[in-house]
Amino acid sequence: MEEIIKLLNDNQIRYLVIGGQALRLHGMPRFTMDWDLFIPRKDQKNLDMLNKVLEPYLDMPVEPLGQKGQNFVQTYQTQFGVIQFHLIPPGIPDFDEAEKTSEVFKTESGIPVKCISTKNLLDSKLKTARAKDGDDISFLKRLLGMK
Amino acid sequence: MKYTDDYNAKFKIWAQVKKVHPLPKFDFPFKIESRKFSSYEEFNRWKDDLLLRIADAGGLKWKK
Repeated sequence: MEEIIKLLNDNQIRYLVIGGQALRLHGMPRFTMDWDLFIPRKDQKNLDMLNKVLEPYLDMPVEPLGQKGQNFVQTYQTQFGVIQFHLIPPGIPDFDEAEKTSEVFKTESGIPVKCISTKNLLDSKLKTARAKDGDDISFLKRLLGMK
Repeated sequence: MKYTDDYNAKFKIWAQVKKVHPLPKFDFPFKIESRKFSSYEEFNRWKDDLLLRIADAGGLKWKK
């Protein structure tokens, strides 16, 4: 999936990694099957560029949020793995706000990846409140010095 | 209790070290169809079902 991330970086596409991969990049040895990307729901230029750059890898275009919440989450299997685009992740502020506090991490092979802040990541985990997120929450609280 | 069984100790070490651990390489046992969801409830139902389908198909296929 680093190939996709590199394409996004090289083309100045706005995205923020959230979910399990963000946890892993924060230092938690954690398995996840997919990459979750938060993208701005109102930035049509960004969406157009995203679709242009990823056209060889996606079997249908990523679409903006519909009036009735359509396209809230969009999932694709690419040759590099499963990627999910989130337009309104729970517990996370609007993309423009989240982008201001975002952090850049590096993958194990040194590719820079833009992630939501540790605080926003914790807030998203607290908001979804799934039983399986308990370890993630404990780790993030430890990172933030809350434990 | 072994030190390695203490998850709070693990969280403390991981938070201090901040090392990115590589993911194991794997293939899915079947193609995952592209989908668009209107809510997290719908998405989470699909994901729970996907995990069951993967388990039924023998799990992820680990690669070297």
